[in-house]
Amino acid sequence: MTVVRIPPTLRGEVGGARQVEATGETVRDVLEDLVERHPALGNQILTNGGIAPFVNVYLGGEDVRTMDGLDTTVPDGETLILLPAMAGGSSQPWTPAVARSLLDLVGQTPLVELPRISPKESVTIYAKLEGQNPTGSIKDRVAKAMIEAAEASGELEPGRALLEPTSGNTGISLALVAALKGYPLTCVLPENATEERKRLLRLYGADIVHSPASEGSNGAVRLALEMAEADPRWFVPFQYANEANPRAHYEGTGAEIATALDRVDVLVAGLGTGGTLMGAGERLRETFPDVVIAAAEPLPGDPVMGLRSLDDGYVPPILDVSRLDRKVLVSNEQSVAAVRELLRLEGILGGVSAGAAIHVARRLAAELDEGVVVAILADGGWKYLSADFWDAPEAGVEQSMESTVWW
Amino acid sequence: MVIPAAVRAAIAEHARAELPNEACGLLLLDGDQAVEYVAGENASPSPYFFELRLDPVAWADIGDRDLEQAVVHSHVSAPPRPSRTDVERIGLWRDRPYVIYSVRLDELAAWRVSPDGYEPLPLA
Repeated sequence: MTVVRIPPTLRGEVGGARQVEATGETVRDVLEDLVERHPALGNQILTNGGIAPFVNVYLGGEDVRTMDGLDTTVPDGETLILLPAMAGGSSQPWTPAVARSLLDLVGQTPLVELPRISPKESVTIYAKLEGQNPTGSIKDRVAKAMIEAAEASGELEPGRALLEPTSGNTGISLALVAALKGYPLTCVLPENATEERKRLLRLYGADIVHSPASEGSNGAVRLALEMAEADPRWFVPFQYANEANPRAHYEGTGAEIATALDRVDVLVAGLGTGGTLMGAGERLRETFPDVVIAAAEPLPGDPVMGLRSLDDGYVPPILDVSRLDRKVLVSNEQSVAAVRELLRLEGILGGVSAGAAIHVARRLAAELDEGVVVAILADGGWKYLSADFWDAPEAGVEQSMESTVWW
Repeated sequence: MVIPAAVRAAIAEHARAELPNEACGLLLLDGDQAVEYVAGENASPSPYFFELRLDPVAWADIGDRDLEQAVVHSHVSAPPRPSRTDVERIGLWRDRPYVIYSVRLDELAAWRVSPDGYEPLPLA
Protein backbone atom coordinates (compact mmCIF):
# COMPACT_ATOMS: atom_id res chain seq x y z
CA MET A 1 0.00 0.00 0.00
CA THR A 2 1.31 3.42 -0.97
CA VAL A 3 0.23 6.74 0.46
CA VAL A 4 -0.26 9.41 -2.21
CA ARG A 5 -0.22 13.02 -1.01
CA ILE A 6 -2.67 15.11 -3.02
CA PRO A 7 -2.13 18.84 -3.61
CA PRO A 8 -5.04 21.20 -2.85
CA THR A 9 -5.44 21.73 -6.62
CA LEU A 10 -6.55 18.09 -7.04
CA ARG A 11 -8.41 17.45 -3.80
CA GLY A 12 -11.78 18.18 -5.35
CA GLU A 13 -11.27 15.06 -7.47
CA VAL A 14 -10.56 12.81 -4.47
CA GLY A 15 -13.37 13.92 -2.17
CA GLY A 16 -11.28 16.57 -0.45
CA ALA A 17 -8.73 14.15 1.00
CA ARG A 18 -5.18 15.33 1.71
CA GLN A 19 -3.82 11.91 1.03
CA VAL A 20 -5.23 8.70 -0.39
CA GLU A 21 -4.02 5.15 -0.75
CA ALA A 22 -3.24 3.15 -3.87
CA THR A 23 -1.34 -0.01 -4.63
CA GLY A 24 1.21 -1.04 -7.20
CA GLU A 25 4.82 -2.04 -7.68
CA THR A 26 5.84 0.81 -9.92
CA VAL A 27 4.89 4.48 -10.10
CA ARG A 28 2.78 3.61 -13.16
CA ASP A 29 0.87 0.89 -11.29
CA VAL A 30 0.24 3.13 -8.30
CA LEU A 31 -0.95 6.05 -10.44
CA GLU A 32 -3.17 3.84 -12.59
CA ASP A 33 -4.70 2.38 -9.43
CA LEU A 34 -5.14 5.91 -8.07
CA VAL A 35 -7.02 7.05 -11.16
CA GLU A 36 -9.12 3.90 -11.10
CA ARG A 37 -10.14 4.59 -7.52
CA HIS A 38 -10.76 8.28 -8.23
CA PRO A 39 -12.00 8.51 -11.81
CA ALA A 40 -12.58 12.26 -11.43
CA LEU A 41 -8.80 12.68 -11.73
CA GLY A 42 -9.29 11.75 -15.38
CA ASN A 43 -6.21 12.48 -17.45
CA GLN A 44 -4.76 15.05 -15.06
CA ILE A 45 -2.22 12.52 -13.75
CA LEU A 46 -1.52 10.26 -16.73
CA THR A 47 -1.84 11.15 -20.39
CA ASN A 48 -0.79 9.18 -23.46
CA GLY A 49 1.00 6.63 -21.32
CA GLY A 50 3.13 9.25 -19.55
CA ILE A 51 2.97 11.61 -16.61
CA ALA A 52 0.59 14.47 -17.45
CA PRO A 53 2.36 17.74 -18.35
CA PHE A 54 1.10 19.79 -15.44
CA VAL A 55 1.87 17.43 -12.59
CA ASN A 56 5.12 16.40 -10.94
CA VAL A 57 5.43 13.09 -9.14
CA TYR A 58 7.97 12.66 -6.34
CA LEU A 59 9.15 9.51 -4.60
CA GLY A 60 11.32 9.91 -1.53
CA GLY A 61 11.52 13.63 -2.27
CA GLU A 62 12.86 13.06 -5.78
CA ASP A 63 11.19 13.76 -9.11
CA VAL A 64 10.48 10.36 -10.65
CA ARG A 65 11.30 11.83 -14.07
CA THR A 66 14.92 11.95 -12.89
CA MET A 67 14.70 8.26 -11.88
CA ASP A 68 13.10 5.61 -14.05
CA GLY A 69 9.97 7.65 -14.67
CA LEU A 70 6.78 5.61 -14.49
CA ASP A 71 8.84 2.42 -14.28
CA THR A 72 10.42 3.49 -10.99
CA THR A 73 9.83 0.86 -8.33
CA VAL A 74 7.80 2.01 -5.33
CA PRO A 75 9.01 0.33 -2.14
CA ASP A 76 6.18 -0.70 0.16
CA GLY A 77 5.33 1.97 2.71
CA GLU A 78 6.93 4.76 0.64
CA THR A 79 4.95 7.95 0.01
CA LEU A 80 4.28 9.42 -3.41
CA ILE A 81 3.84 13.18 -3.58
CA LEU A 82 1.85 14.83 -6.38
CA LEU A 83 2.43 18.54 -6.95
CA PRO A 84 1.45 21.02 -9.64
CA ALA A 85 4.16 21.54 -12.28
CA MET A 86 4.20 25.32 -12.48
CA ALA A 87 5.96 27.09 -15.31
CA GLY A 88 5.43 30.24 -17.30
CA GLY A 89 7.15 33.54 -17.72
CA SER A 90 7.03 36.70 -19.76
CA SER A 91 8.15 34.48 -22.69
CA GLN A 92 9.01 37.29 -25.05
CA PRO A 93 11.43 40.09 -24.52
CA TRP A 94 8.99 42.87 -24.01
CA THR A 95 9.27 46.01 -26.05
CA PRO A 96 6.83 48.78 -25.27
CA ALA A 97 4.86 50.12 -28.23
CA VAL A 98 6.14 53.55 -27.28
CA ALA A 99 9.53 53.79 -25.60
CA ARG A 100 10.05 56.29 -22.81
CA SER A 101 13.66 56.81 -23.77
CA LEU A 102 15.99 55.77 -26.55
CA LEU A 103 17.91 53.92 -23.84
CA ASP A 104 14.96 51.52 -23.51
CA LEU A 105 15.60 50.50 -27.11
CA VAL A 106 19.14 49.27 -26.48
CA GLY A 107 19.43 45.53 -27.09
CA GLN A 108 16.76 43.02 -28.19
CA THR A 109 18.39 43.01 -31.60
CA PRO A 110 17.14 40.63 -34.31
CA LEU A 111 18.68 37.33 -35.35
CA VAL A 112 18.50 36.56 -39.05
CA GLU A 113 19.35 33.39 -40.91
CA LEU A 114 22.04 33.60 -43.61
CA PRO A 115 21.25 30.73 -45.97
CA ARG A 116 23.40 32.06 -48.81
CA ILE A 117 26.43 32.60 -46.60
CA SER A 118 26.27 29.13 -45.07
CA PRO A 119 28.63 26.70 -46.83
CA LYS A 120 26.25 23.75 -46.41
CA GLU A 121 22.55 23.22 -46.03
CA SER A 122 22.87 21.17 -42.85
CA VAL A 123 24.52 24.06 -41.00
CA THR A 124 22.48 27.16 -40.21
CA ILE A 125 24.28 30.44 -39.69
CA TYR A 126 22.45 33.20 -37.84
CA ALA A 127 23.62 36.78 -37.62
CA LYS A 128 22.78 38.92 -34.62
CA LEU A 129 22.35 42.40 -36.01
CA GLU A 130 23.85 44.68 -33.39
CA GLY A 131 23.84 47.49 -35.92
CA GLN A 132 20.16 47.90 -35.06
CA ASN A 133 20.94 49.44 -31.68
CA PRO A 134 20.11 53.17 -31.30
CA THR A 135 23.53 54.50 -32.37
CA GLY A 136 24.11 51.60 -34.73
CA SER A 137 26.46 49.37 -32.77
CA ILE A 138 26.76 46.76 -30.04
CA LYS A 139 28.53 49.35 -27.88
CA ASP A 140 25.20 50.89 -26.89
CA ARG A 141 24.76 47.90 -24.58
CA VAL A 142 28.17 48.41 -23.04
CA ALA A 143 27.90 52.20 -22.64
CA LYS A 144 24.48 51.98 -21.01
CA ALA A 145 25.58 49.17 -18.69
CA MET A 146 28.82 50.88 -17.63
CA ILE A 147 27.15 54.19 -16.83
CA GLU A 148 24.19 52.64 -15.03
CA ALA A 149 26.49 50.39 -12.99
CA ALA A 150 28.57 53.41 -11.96
CA GLU A 151 25.43 55.32 -11.02
CA ALA A 152 24.16 52.38 -8.99
CA SER A 153 27.44 52.01 -7.11
CA GLY A 154 27.54 55.73 -6.37
CA GLU A 155 30.80 56.15 -8.28
CA LEU A 156 29.15 58.39 -10.85
CA GLU A 157 27.18 61.32 -9.53
CA PRO A 158 25.83 64.50 -11.07
CA GLY A 159 28.66 66.97 -11.46
CA ARG A 160 31.22 64.46 -12.66
CA ALA A 161 32.32 64.24 -16.27
CA LEU A 162 33.05 61.19 -18.40
CA LEU A 163 36.36 60.58 -20.13
CA GLU A 164 37.03 57.64 -22.44
CA PRO A 165 39.86 56.85 -24.84
CA THR A 166 37.99 55.87 -27.99
CA SER A 167 37.48 57.04 -31.49
CA GLY A 168 35.13 54.22 -32.23
CA ASN A 169 31.65 53.03 -31.53
CA THR A 170 32.06 53.14 -27.75
CA GLY A 171 32.58 56.89 -27.93
CA ILE A 172 29.41 57.40 -29.91
CA SER A 173 27.42 55.14 -27.58
CA LEU A 174 28.81 56.84 -24.48
CA ALA A 175 28.00 60.20 -26.03
CA LEU A 176 24.37 59.20 -26.45
CA VAL A 177 24.00 57.81 -22.94
CA ALA A 178 25.91 60.73 -21.40
CA ALA A 179 23.77 63.27 -23.25
CA LEU A 180 20.49 61.66 -22.17
CA LYS A 181 21.64 61.37 -18.58
CA GLY A 182 23.20 64.82 -18.39
CA TYR A 183 26.93 64.10 -18.05
CA PRO A 184 29.54 65.88 -20.16
CA LEU A 185 31.76 63.47 -22.14
CA THR A 186 35.26 63.92 -23.48
CA CYS A 187 36.75 61.38 -25.86
CA VAL A 188 40.50 61.01 -26.31
CA LEU A 189 41.37 59.88 -29.81
CA PRO A 190 44.41 59.74 -32.05
CA GLU A 191 44.84 62.85 -34.11
CA ASN A 192 44.59 60.93 -37.37
CA ALA A 193 41.16 59.40 -36.64
CA THR A 194 38.82 60.08 -39.54
CA GLU A 195 37.03 63.38 -39.80
CA GLU A 196 33.81 61.37 -40.08
CA ARG A 197 34.38 59.97 -36.59
CA LYS A 198 35.25 63.29 -35.03
CA ARG A 199 32.22 64.93 -36.59
CA LEU A 200 29.91 62.19 -35.36
CA LEU A 201 31.25 62.44 -31.82
CA ARG A 202 30.90 66.22 -31.82
CA LEU A 203 27.36 65.98 -33.17
CA TYR A 204 26.42 63.66 -30.33
CA GLY A 205 27.78 66.29 -27.94
CA ALA A 206 31.20 64.92 -27.01
CA ASP A 207 34.32 67.05 -26.59
CA ILE A 208 37.46 65.80 -28.26
CA VAL A 209 41.06 65.69 -27.03
CA HIS A 210 43.71 64.53 -29.48
CA SER A 211 46.52 62.13 -28.69
CA PRO A 212 49.58 61.85 -30.96
CA ALA A 213 48.87 60.01 -34.20
CA SER A 214 52.13 58.13 -33.90
CA GLU A 215 51.05 56.41 -30.66
CA GLY A 216 47.83 54.94 -32.10
CA SER A 217 45.03 53.86 -29.80
CA ASN A 218 47.44 52.94 -27.00
CA GLY A 219 48.45 56.60 -26.94
CA ALA A 220 44.82 57.61 -26.44
CA VAL A 221 44.56 55.22 -23.49
CA ARG A 222 47.77 56.60 -21.97
CA LEU A 223 46.63 60.22 -22.27
CA ALA A 224 43.14 59.54 -20.90
CA LEU A 225 44.52 57.75 -17.85
CA GLU A 226 47.00 60.61 -17.25
CA MET A 227 44.21 63.17 -17.44
CA ALA A 228 42.07 61.17 -15.01
CA GLU A 229 44.94 60.92 -12.57
CA ALA A 230 45.49 64.68 -12.65
CA ASP A 231 41.83 65.62 -12.16
CA PRO A 232 39.48 63.51 -9.99
CA ARG A 233 36.46 65.13 -11.62
CA TRP A 234 36.83 62.69 -14.50
CA PHE A 235 35.13 59.35 -14.39
CA VAL A 236 36.67 56.91 -16.88
CA PRO A 237 34.34 53.96 -17.64
CA PHE A 238 37.25 52.22 -19.43
CA GLN A 239 35.52 49.42 -21.24
CA TYR A 240 38.62 47.20 -21.34
CA ALA A 241 38.58 46.72 -17.58
CA ASN A 242 34.93 47.38 -16.70
CA GLU A 243 33.03 44.30 -15.52
CA ALA A 244 29.76 45.92 -16.62
CA ASN A 245 30.95 45.32 -20.19
CA PRO A 246 30.84 41.49 -20.16
CA ARG A 247 27.83 41.62 -17.86
CA ALA A 248 25.86 43.58 -20.47
CA HIS A 249 26.54 40.74 -22.88
CA TYR A 250 25.77 38.04 -20.32
CA GLU A 251 22.43 39.59 -19.41
CA GLY A 252 21.60 40.93 -22.85
CA THR A 253 23.30 39.60 -25.98
CA GLY A 254 23.85 36.07 -24.66
CA ALA A 255 20.50 35.73 -22.90
CA GLU A 256 18.68 36.92 -26.03
CA ILE A 257 20.39 34.27 -28.16
CA ALA A 258 19.78 31.54 -25.56
CA THR A 259 16.09 32.42 -25.49
CA ALA A 260 15.67 32.68 -29.24
CA LEU A 261 17.37 29.46 -30.32
CA ASP A 262 16.98 25.83 -29.34
CA ARG A 263 20.49 24.94 -30.35
CA VAL A 264 23.81 26.77 -30.66
CA ASP A 265 26.99 24.89 -31.56
CA VAL A 266 29.31 27.80 -32.26
CA LEU A 267 29.28 31.45 -31.23
CA VAL A 268 31.53 33.78 -33.21
CA ALA A 269 32.34 37.34 -32.25
CA GLY A 270 35.17 39.70 -33.00
CA LEU A 271 37.88 40.08 -30.38
CA GLY A 272 37.90 43.71 -29.29
CA THR A 273 37.63 44.27 -25.55
CA GLY A 274 36.59 40.64 -25.11
CA GLY A 275 33.31 41.75 -23.50
CA THR A 276 31.03 40.06 -26.03
CA LEU A 277 32.96 36.80 -26.08
CA MET A 278 33.22 36.61 -22.28
CA GLY A 279 29.67 37.65 -21.40
CA ALA A 280 27.61 36.13 -24.20
CA GLY A 281 29.88 33.06 -24.20
CA GLU A 282 29.34 32.48 -20.49
CA ARG A 283 25.59 32.82 -20.83
CA LEU A 284 25.40 30.47 -23.81
CA ARG A 285 27.51 27.86 -22.03
CA GLU A 286 24.87 27.72 -19.30
CA THR A 287 22.19 26.73 -21.81
CA PHE A 288 24.36 24.89 -24.35
CA PRO A 289 27.25 23.36 -22.36
CA ASP A 290 29.08 22.14 -25.48
CA VAL A 291 28.95 25.43 -27.38
CA VAL A 292 32.25 26.49 -28.96
CA ILE A 293 33.11 30.12 -28.24
CA ALA A 294 35.19 31.38 -31.14
CA ALA A 295 37.04 34.69 -31.41
CA ALA A 296 37.74 36.34 -34.73
CA GLU A 297 41.19 37.82 -34.15
CA PRO A 298 43.08 39.99 -36.61
CA LEU A 299 46.44 38.82 -37.91
CA PRO A 300 49.26 40.45 -35.92
CA GLY A 301 50.37 43.58 -37.69
CA ASP A 302 47.29 43.57 -39.90
CA PRO A 303 44.70 45.47 -37.86
CA VAL A 304 41.05 44.89 -38.66
CA MET A 305 38.99 47.90 -37.67
CA GLY A 306 37.41 47.40 -34.29
CA LEU A 307 39.35 44.27 -33.48
CA ARG A 308 42.45 43.71 -31.43
CA SER A 309 45.32 41.33 -31.84
CA LEU A 310 46.50 39.90 -28.53
CA ASP A 311 49.99 39.79 -30.01
CA ASP A 312 50.02 43.58 -29.99
CA GLY A 313 50.86 43.37 -26.32
CA TYR A 314 47.71 44.50 -24.55
CA VAL A 315 45.35 41.91 -23.08
CA PRO A 316 42.19 43.60 -21.74
CA PRO A 317 41.71 42.78 -18.05
CA ILE A 318 38.15 41.58 -18.67
CA LEU A 319 39.40 39.02 -21.21
CA ASP A 320 40.19 35.54 -19.92
CA VAL A 321 41.76 33.86 -22.93
CA SER A 322 41.27 30.44 -21.34
CA ARG A 323 37.50 30.90 -21.78
CA LEU A 324 37.88 31.03 -25.56
CA ASP A 325 37.57 27.67 -27.28
CA ARG A 326 38.87 28.88 -30.62
CA LYS A 327 40.79 31.85 -31.92
CA VAL A 328 40.72 32.20 -35.66
CA LEU A 329 43.04 34.71 -37.28
CA VAL A 330 41.50 36.85 -40.00
CA SER A 331 43.25 39.15 -42.39
CA ASN A 332 41.93 42.51 -43.39
CA GLU A 333 41.49 41.27 -46.90
CA GLN A 334 39.39 38.31 -45.77
CA SER A 335 37.25 40.58 -43.57
CA VAL A 336 36.59 42.99 -46.37
CA ALA A 337 35.85 40.21 -48.84
CA ALA A 338 33.35 38.73 -46.37
CA VAL A 339 31.65 42.03 -45.65
CA ARG A 340 31.21 42.66 -49.35
CA GLU A 341 29.84 39.18 -49.84
CA LEU A 342 27.46 39.60 -46.90
CA LEU A 343 26.00 42.63 -48.63
CA ARG A 344 25.85 41.00 -52.05
CA LEU A 345 24.34 37.68 -50.91
CA GLU A 346 22.21 38.58 -47.90
CA GLY A 347 21.63 42.32 -48.25
CA ILE A 348 23.30 43.15 -44.94
CA LEU A 349 25.57 46.19 -44.86
CA GLY A 350 27.95 45.28 -42.05
CA GLY A 351 31.04 46.91 -40.61
CA VAL A 352 34.49 45.47 -41.22
CA SER A 353 34.57 43.52 -37.95
CA ALA A 354 31.24 41.97 -38.99
CA GLY A 355 33.08 40.73 -42.07
CA ALA A 356 35.70 39.14 -39.84
CA ALA A 357 32.99 37.40 -37.81
CA ILE A 358 31.28 36.16 -40.98
CA HIS A 359 34.55 34.86 -42.38
CA VAL A 360 35.17 32.85 -39.19
CA ALA A 361 31.54 31.70 -38.96
CA ARG A 362 31.74 30.28 -42.47
CA ARG A 363 35.01 28.54 -41.77
CA LEU A 364 33.74 26.91 -38.59
CA ALA A 365 30.42 26.04 -40.25
CA ALA A 366 32.37 24.17 -42.90
CA GLU A 367 33.97 22.05 -40.15
CA LEU A 368 30.57 20.92 -38.84
CA ASP A 369 28.46 18.13 -40.32
CA GLU A 370 25.35 19.87 -39.07
CA GLY A 371 24.44 22.44 -36.49
CA VAL A 372 23.90 26.08 -35.69
CA VAL A 373 26.46 28.89 -35.81
CA VAL A 374 25.70 32.35 -34.47
CA ALA A 375 27.82 35.30 -35.61
CA ILE A 376 27.52 38.60 -33.78
CA LEU A 377 27.76 41.49 -36.22
CA ALA A 378 28.90 44.40 -34.07
CA ASP A 379 27.83 47.23 -36.34
CA GLY A 380 26.62 48.27 -39.76
CA GLY A 381 28.73 49.60 -42.60
CA TRP A 382 27.29 53.10 -42.64
CA LYS A 383 30.11 54.64 -40.65
CA TYR A 384 32.74 53.34 -43.06
CA LEU A 385 31.34 54.57 -46.33
CA SER A 386 34.24 56.89 -47.04
CA ALA A 387 36.59 53.89 -47.05
CA ASP A 388 37.82 52.95 -50.47
CA PHE A 389 37.56 49.23 -49.97
CA TRP A 390 33.85 48.98 -50.78
CA ASP A 391 34.50 49.32 -54.47
CA ALA A 392 38.27 48.76 -54.66
CA PRO A 393 39.27 45.77 -56.76
CA GLU A 394 40.01 42.78 -54.52
CA ALA A 395 43.77 43.24 -54.80
CA GLY A 396 43.60 46.90 -53.82
CA VAL A 397 41.84 46.36 -50.52
CA GLU A 398 44.96 46.20 -48.40
CA GLN A 399 46.36 49.38 -49.75
CA SER A 400 43.10 51.23 -49.44
CA MET A 401 42.99 50.55 -45.71
CA GLU A 402 46.53 51.28 -44.70
CA SER A 403 46.45 55.02 -44.80
CA THR A 404 43.94 55.69 -42.02
CA VAL A 405 43.52 54.82 -38.38
CA TRP A 406 39.88 53.92 -38.01
CA TRP A 407 39.48 52.70 -34.53
CA MET B 1 -6.24 39.96 -1.75
CA VAL B 2 -4.25 41.93 0.79
CA ILE B 3 -0.45 41.82 0.53
CA PRO B 4 1.21 43.57 3.50
CA ALA B 5 4.23 45.76 2.77
CA ALA B 6 6.72 43.33 4.34
CA VAL B 7 5.50 40.42 2.19
CA ARG B 8 5.51 42.59 -0.91
CA ALA B 9 9.07 43.66 -0.08
CA ALA B 10 10.12 40.01 0.23
CA ILE B 11 8.77 39.27 -3.25
CA ALA B 12 10.45 42.36 -4.74
CA GLU B 13 13.76 41.58 -3.05
CA HIS B 14 13.77 37.99 -4.30
CA ALA B 15 12.89 39.14 -7.84
CA ARG B 16 15.77 41.64 -7.84
CA ALA B 17 18.18 39.09 -6.42
CA GLU B 18 17.39 36.70 -9.28
CA LEU B 19 18.07 39.25 -12.03
CA PRO B 20 18.68 38.88 -14.91
CA ASN B 21 16.36 35.88 -14.62
CA GLU B 22 12.78 35.56 -13.51
CA ALA B 23 12.16 34.60 -9.89
CA CYS B 24 9.35 32.40 -8.58
CA GLY B 25 7.85 31.23 -5.33
CA LEU B 26 4.69 30.71 -3.35
CA LEU B 27 2.59 33.20 -1.49
CA LEU B 28 0.67 31.79 1.49
CA LEU B 29 -2.69 33.37 2.25
CA ASP B 30 -4.86 33.21 5.33
CA GLY B 31 -8.24 33.98 3.79
CA ASP B 32 -7.46 36.93 1.56
CA GLN B 33 -4.53 38.03 3.71
CA ALA B 34 -1.04 37.17 2.45
CA VAL B 35 1.00 35.98 5.42
CA GLU B 36 4.25 34.63 3.98
CA TYR B 37 6.30 34.48 0.80
CA VAL B 38 8.23 31.26 0.24
CA ALA B 39 11.01 31.87 -2.28
CA GLY B 40 11.34 29.05 -4.80
CA GLU B 41 14.06 28.14 -7.23
CA ASN B 42 13.72 28.82 -10.95
CA ALA B 43 14.59 25.41 -12.40
CA SER B 44 14.84 26.91 -15.92
CA PRO B 45 16.76 30.09 -15.20
CA SER B 46 15.95 32.62 -17.91
CA PRO B 47 14.93 36.27 -18.18
CA TYR B 48 11.76 35.11 -19.95
CA PHE B 49 10.77 31.86 -18.29
CA PHE B 50 10.32 30.21 -14.93
CA GLU B 51 9.78 26.71 -13.67
CA LEU B 52 8.92 26.63 -9.99
CA ARG B 53 10.95 24.24 -7.87
CA LEU B 54 10.37 23.84 -4.14
CA ASP B 55 11.31 21.04 -1.81
CA PRO B 56 8.44 18.61 -2.54
CA VAL B 57 7.96 17.51 1.05
CA ALA B 58 7.92 21.11 2.25
CA TRP B 59 5.42 22.05 -0.47
CA ALA B 60 3.20 19.07 0.33
CA ASP B 61 3.32 20.08 4.02
CA ILE B 62 2.28 23.61 3.09
CA GLY B 63 -0.66 22.07 1.24
CA ASP B 64 -1.74 20.39 4.46
CA ARG B 65 -1.93 23.69 6.33
CA ASP B 66 -5.20 25.58 6.14
CA LEU B 67 -3.76 28.22 3.88
CA GLU B 68 -4.53 29.27 0.35
CA GLN B 69 -1.54 29.40 -2.00
CA ALA B 70 -0.71 31.76 -4.83
CA VAL B 71 2.03 31.00 -7.35
CA VAL B 72 4.27 34.04 -7.74
CA HIS B 73 6.75 34.88 -10.47
CA SER B 74 8.53 37.94 -11.74
CA HIS B 75 8.64 39.52 -15.15
CA VAL B 76 11.96 41.25 -15.59
CA SER B 77 10.69 44.07 -17.78
CA ALA B 78 7.21 43.17 -19.04
CA PRO B 79 4.17 44.50 -17.16
CA PRO B 80 2.79 42.21 -14.41
CA ARG B 81 0.14 40.74 -16.73
CA PRO B 82 -0.10 37.03 -17.58
CA SER B 83 1.79 36.36 -20.80
CA ARG B 84 0.73 33.87 -23.45
CA THR B 85 3.13 31.37 -21.87
CA ASP B 86 1.65 31.98 -18.41
CA VAL B 87 -1.81 31.21 -19.80
CA GLU B 88 -0.68 28.17 -21.78
CA ARG B 89 1.17 26.72 -18.82
CA ILE B 90 -1.39 27.45 -16.11
CA GLY B 91 -2.24 23.72 -15.88
CA LEU B 92 -3.49 22.66 -12.45
CA TRP B 93 -3.33 26.24 -11.21
CA ARG B 94 -6.32 27.32 -13.29
CA ASP B 95 -8.60 29.79 -11.51
CA ARG B 96 -6.30 29.93 -8.49
CA PRO B 97 -4.54 33.03 -7.19
CA TYR B 98 -1.60 33.90 -9.41
CA VAL B 99 0.69 36.82 -8.64
CA ILE B 100 3.15 38.55 -10.99
CA TYR B 101 5.74 41.13 -10.01
CA SER B 102 7.31 43.37 -12.67
CA VAL B 103 10.84 44.27 -11.63
CA ARG B 104 11.20 47.13 -14.09
CA LEU B 105 7.91 48.75 -13.13
CA ASP B 106 8.04 47.71 -9.44
CA GLU B 107 4.39 46.68 -9.81
CA LEU B 108 2.61 43.71 -8.32
CA ALA B 109 -0.66 42.33 -9.67
CA ALA B 110 -2.84 39.32 -8.86
CA TRP B 111 -4.91 37.29 -11.32
CA ARG B 112 -7.00 34.21 -11.81
CA VAL B 113 -5.77 32.53 -14.96
CA SER B 114 -7.47 29.82 -16.99
CA PRO B 115 -6.52 28.32 -20.34
CA ASP B 116 -9.04 30.70 -21.90
CA GLY B 117 -7.71 33.92 -20.39
CA TYR B 118 -7.39 35.74 -17.12
CA GLU B 119 -9.18 38.08 -14.74
CA PRO B 120 -7.67 40.55 -12.32
CA LEU B 121 -7.84 39.79 -8.63
CA PRO B 122 -8.09 43.16 -6.85
CA LEU B 123 -5.21 43.93 -4.51
CA ALA B 124 -6.02 45.97 -1.43
